[in-house]
Amino acid sequence: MAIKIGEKAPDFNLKGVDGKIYTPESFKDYKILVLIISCNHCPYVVAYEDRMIGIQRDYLDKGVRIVAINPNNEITHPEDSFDNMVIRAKKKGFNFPYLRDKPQDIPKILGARYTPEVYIFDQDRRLRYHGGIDDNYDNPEAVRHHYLRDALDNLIDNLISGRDVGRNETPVVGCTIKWK
Amino acid sequence: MLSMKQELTAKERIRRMVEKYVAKGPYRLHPDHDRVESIIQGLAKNLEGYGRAYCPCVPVEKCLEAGRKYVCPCEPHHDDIARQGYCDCALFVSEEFLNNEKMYIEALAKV
Ligand code: SF4
Repeated sequence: MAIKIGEKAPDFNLKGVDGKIYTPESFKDYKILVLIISCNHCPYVVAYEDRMIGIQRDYLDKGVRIVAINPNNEITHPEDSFDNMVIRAKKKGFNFPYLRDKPQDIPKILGARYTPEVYIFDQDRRLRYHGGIDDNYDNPEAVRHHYLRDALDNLIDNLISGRDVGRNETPVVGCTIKWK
Repeated sequence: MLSMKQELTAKERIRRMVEKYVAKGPYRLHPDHDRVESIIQGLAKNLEGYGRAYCPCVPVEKCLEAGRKYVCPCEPHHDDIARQGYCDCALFVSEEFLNNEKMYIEALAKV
């Protein structure tokens, strides 16, 4: 069953492409935690990588930490192995941790089904947004709704004003998670 | 003069192919309209760019190497649907998956 808006973020203990182990504690200094279920091979993810890097760059000093998690089955999709994640992160210059979830626990707890699929948690690590990055994977110039940026803006305002986050569920497009 | 095939946009051609394939059975379309549209868009982009409706969920270099294998409806889709209820892109789904998915969508709407 999927995590619902308002529920707590899952616990995790996952290895990043830098060789370090990450837990929720690793991100305690950030007000907002964005988990993106991601991978290497999916062309939708590839189309979004530069946007993910851009969003992390633009929101870092606002206390936002993006964390990408790859749960895909490397037997059926060898492009998604840990070694290939290291290569991909280096090649693209990821400015966010990229973690391997080989047992596929995190997408199961979240109820995620696609890559990229986004979950935003507030400072109490409660889910405030679930959905996509924007409404046009193919052409960044033609995007009409910047779902992730809008949700972050709303949430950052909300931290100051106490208002609601606004639209908290949006459509997710992407490849299916490759389950074992 | 342009042939009928050329007059249709890539997206229209893909939409027709998908509708025809679903009408033939036994598979159904995924019930999420946004999902279906994004996959049609991806297939159309590959049709325009590479002349074949390569699967948008497979890197295009891999599609080009594999010949016909990943042209939609791709070779693995029967096995994928039999195993998990949906093809790799979750465009075509089994009847059983469709019914479960509808229940899931209804349950979400009530939350
Ligand atoms: S996975 Fe589905 S959408 Fe993709 S090529 Fe195969 S049948 Fe078509």
